[in-house]
Amino acid sequence: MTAPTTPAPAESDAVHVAVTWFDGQTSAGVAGTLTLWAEGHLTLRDALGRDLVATGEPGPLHPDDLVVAPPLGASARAFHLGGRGRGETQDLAALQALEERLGRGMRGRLLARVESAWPLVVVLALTLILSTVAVMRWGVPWAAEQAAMALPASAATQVGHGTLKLLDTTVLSPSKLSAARKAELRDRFRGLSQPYDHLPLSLHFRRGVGPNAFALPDGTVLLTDELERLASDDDQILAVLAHEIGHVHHRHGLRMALETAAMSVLFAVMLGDASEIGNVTAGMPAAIAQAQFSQAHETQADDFALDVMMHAGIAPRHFAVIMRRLQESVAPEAQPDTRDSDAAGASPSARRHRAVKRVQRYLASHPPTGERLRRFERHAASGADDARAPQAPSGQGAAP
Amino acid sequence: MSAPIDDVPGTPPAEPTTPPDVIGPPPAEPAFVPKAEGVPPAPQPAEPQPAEPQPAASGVALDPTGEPARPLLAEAEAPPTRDLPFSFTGTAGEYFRIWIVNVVLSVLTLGIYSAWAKKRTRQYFYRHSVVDGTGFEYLADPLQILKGRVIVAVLFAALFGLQAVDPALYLGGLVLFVIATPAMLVSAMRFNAKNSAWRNIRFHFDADSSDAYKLYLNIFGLYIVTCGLAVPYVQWMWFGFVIKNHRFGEQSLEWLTRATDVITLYIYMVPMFIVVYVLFIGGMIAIGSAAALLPDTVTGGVDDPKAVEDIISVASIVMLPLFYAGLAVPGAFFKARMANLMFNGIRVGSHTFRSEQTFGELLKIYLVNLVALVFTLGLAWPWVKVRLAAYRLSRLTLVAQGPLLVNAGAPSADASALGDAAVDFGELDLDLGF
Repeated sequence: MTAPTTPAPAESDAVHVAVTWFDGQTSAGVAGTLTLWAEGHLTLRDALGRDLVATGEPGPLHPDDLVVAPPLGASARAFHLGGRGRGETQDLAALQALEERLGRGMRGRLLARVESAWPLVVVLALTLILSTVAVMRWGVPWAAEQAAMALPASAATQVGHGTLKLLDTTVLSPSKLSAARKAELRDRFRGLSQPYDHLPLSLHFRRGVGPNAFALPDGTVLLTDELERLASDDDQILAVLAHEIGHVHHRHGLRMALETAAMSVLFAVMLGDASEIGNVTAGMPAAIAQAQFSQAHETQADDFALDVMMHAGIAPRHFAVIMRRLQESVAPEAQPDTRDSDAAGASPSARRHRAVKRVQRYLASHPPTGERLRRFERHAASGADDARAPQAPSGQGAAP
Repeated sequence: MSAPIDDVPGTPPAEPTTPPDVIGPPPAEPAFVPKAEGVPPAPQPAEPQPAEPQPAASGVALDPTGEPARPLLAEAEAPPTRDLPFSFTGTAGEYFRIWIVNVVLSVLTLGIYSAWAKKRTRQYFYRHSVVDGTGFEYLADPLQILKGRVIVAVLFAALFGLQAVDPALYLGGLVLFVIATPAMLVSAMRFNAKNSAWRNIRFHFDADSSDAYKLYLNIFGLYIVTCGLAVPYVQWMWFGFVIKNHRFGEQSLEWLTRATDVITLYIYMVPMFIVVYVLFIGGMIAIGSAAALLPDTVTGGVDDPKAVEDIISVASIVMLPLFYAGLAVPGAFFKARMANLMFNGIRVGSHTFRSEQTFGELLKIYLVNLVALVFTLGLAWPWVKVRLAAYRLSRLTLVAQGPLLVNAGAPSADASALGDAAVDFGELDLDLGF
C-alpha cells in the first residue's frame, strides 16, 4: 500500500509514556507504560506487558477513560483512567504528544504557555500594578460616589445607626452648655442648613473628647463643649458645622464604607494566599489608600463648607481661624505651616520638618492643615471676606 | 544491578551505625509481597525515570523477590532504617509566573478564578515536595472550593453590612463567628487532609466538631485556671490533637513529643521577646538623645516646637522596621525549634521523621525575605515562599524502617469546602510551621 504523501511518522506510530502507576489500594508503585496505539486504543502495561488496569470487560481501555491533570510548570503530571488508580509521569513531552493526538488539553496547554512566557508575565505584572493604582485612585472613589448617591437616602442614613449610642456609652458625656446657649447654636445651625433641609440634620451637644465636631451618616452632627469654648466667635463654630454638613450631604459615611469594602475585596482577590505578607507590605498600601479616600472626603467637605459660608454670608477667614486654634490645641507650640513653608523654607530646620511632613501626609486622615487653610485664606484675600456682599437670601441667623 | 534508591546527591550519610550495604534494595518483608491476584512484583522507580517504553529498563530496587530468604530471618531483628530526605523541586521563577497569571485571572474574573488559583498554587507546592522520588498531590475540586468561597463571601458580606447598619448585631455576628471557629477549623482540616495524597493514598483527618469543642472547652478552662499562662501546654495539646487525628491511608499518626519540651521552648523564647522590646525602646531613646547633640541649625534648637515632633517621627521610621526585624529573632527561634519538635515526634507505623532546622539558618532566611519583600513592594513573595518551602524540606528526612507500604484504609467522611473557605477568609492560622 503506497500513500501518495508520506504521513508524519507520529501519525503512524504509537505514543508511549513511561509512568508510575499507583492502584490506590496501597502506596506501592508500579513502573508501566501508557500507550496510545495508532489504531486509537489505549493500554497501560507493566514491564512484562501485563495490563495494570482491569477493564472489567474484554478489550482495550477507551481513550475517553483517560483524564489528565493540566500541566503545571515542570511538575510531574498525574492522570487516572475512569477513576481506577492514578498514574504519574515526568515524561511531559510524551504525555503532551499523546494528548495532542487525542485532541485534548488545549486550554491547559494555553494556560501553561502563558505561565511560561516571561515577557508576557512581566507585561501582565506591570499592567496589574498600574491598573490597581488607577482603580484605587479614581475607580473606587468614583464608583463609591455613584453608588452612594444612587442609593436611597434611607440607606445612607442607616450606616452607623447606633453609633451615637455606642459613643455615648463609651467616650462621650452629656454637654454642660446651658439650654439657652444650645438653643442659640441650634438656631444658627438651622439657618445655616436651611438650603439642605431635605437632609435629616440635627445638632447635638456632647463633651469628653477634646475640641471636635463630627457628623454621623444619619445627619446627626455632634459638637463638643471643648470646641464651643475654643471658638472666639460663633461664626467659627458655624464654619466647622458647615464642614460637617458637607460630610452628610456627600454621604461620606456610606462612601467610606463602600470604598473600604471595595478595597478589601480587591486586596483579598489580588493577594490570595499571599495575605500572610500582612502587616509588612500589604498593610501599607491599604493604610495609604484609606487615608487618601479620607483626605478626598475632607477636601470635598471643605469645599462644601466654603460654599455654604459664602452663601450664608460668613467670612471664610473664620474657618481658617478655628482650624488654627484646633491645631494649636492639639500641639500647643506647633504653628500650622501655611506661610513658613513658602517663605522661611530655606532654614535646615524647616527643610527637615517638611521632609518628615511629606512622609506623614500619605497616612493622615485629613489633608495637611496648612493646605486647607491656604484655600480658605486665598478666598479671604480675594476680597470676598469682609464684604458680606452676597448676603444670603437665607442668612437670617447672621448675627455676629 | 541494584540502583541505590537512597543515594540522592547532597544527602547526609545514613546514621553511622548503619552498615553501608543497606543503601540498596531494602530488606523484604512479608507485608510487601504484592497483593492478591498473583501479579508478580513489579519494579518501582524510585526516581522519575527517563521515558523508556521498553520493558525491563526502568526496574529499580524495591523488588522483594531478589532475596527470598530474608523474610524468615527478619522476624527477629528490627529492619535497619533508611534516610529518605525530602526535597523541594519548584523554582521561584516558575512560581512567580504562575502567581502573576493567577492574580490577573482572579481579578479579571472578579474572584471566581481564585478557586482554581488556590488549587494551582497548592498543587505546585505539593507536587514539588518530594520524598523517595514521589511528590505529593493536592486533589481538591476547584468547583467545590468555589462553592465554599461563595457561601462564605456572602456570609462575610452580610456581617460587614451589619457593621454598617447595627454595631450591636455586628458584635453578635462576630461572637457567632468565634463560636463556630472550632467547627470550621476541623472541617478545613478534614477537607485539606482528604485532598492531600502521596502515591495515590490519601490523608484523612478523623476528628469531628464535637472533639474540637471538647478540646476548646479544655483549653478555655485551662486559660481561666492559669490566667493564660498555659499557652505552651495549649500549643502542645493543639498540635497533638491535629497530628494524632490525622492518618495516612489506614496508618494513624502518633505523636511522641512531650509537653515539657514545648514548655521549655517557650521558656527560652519569652526572654528573647523581652530583649527585643527593651532594645526597641532603648533605640528610640538613643535616637532622641543623639538628636539633642546635633547643631541647633539642623534641629532648630529647643525653641523649635517642631523638633520634638520630628524626632519622634524619624525615630519611628528608623526603629519600626528594625523592631519588625528584631521580632524575627524570637520568631525564627520558635519556628525552627517547634518544627523540629513537631516532626521529630511524629511516627507513622515504623517510620519516623528527622527535622533539623536551625535557628541561625531560618533567621537569615527570614531577614533576607523581609528585606526582599519591602524593597520589591511584595513582588518577591513567590521567591520568599519557595525559599522557605525549600529550606524546611531540605532539613526534613523520613527515617523509614521497612518498606514504605501503606494501605488505603477507610475513606473519610465527606468533607465540604465550607470550613476551608472560612479559614481562608478569616485568615485563621492553620500553619503548623510546615
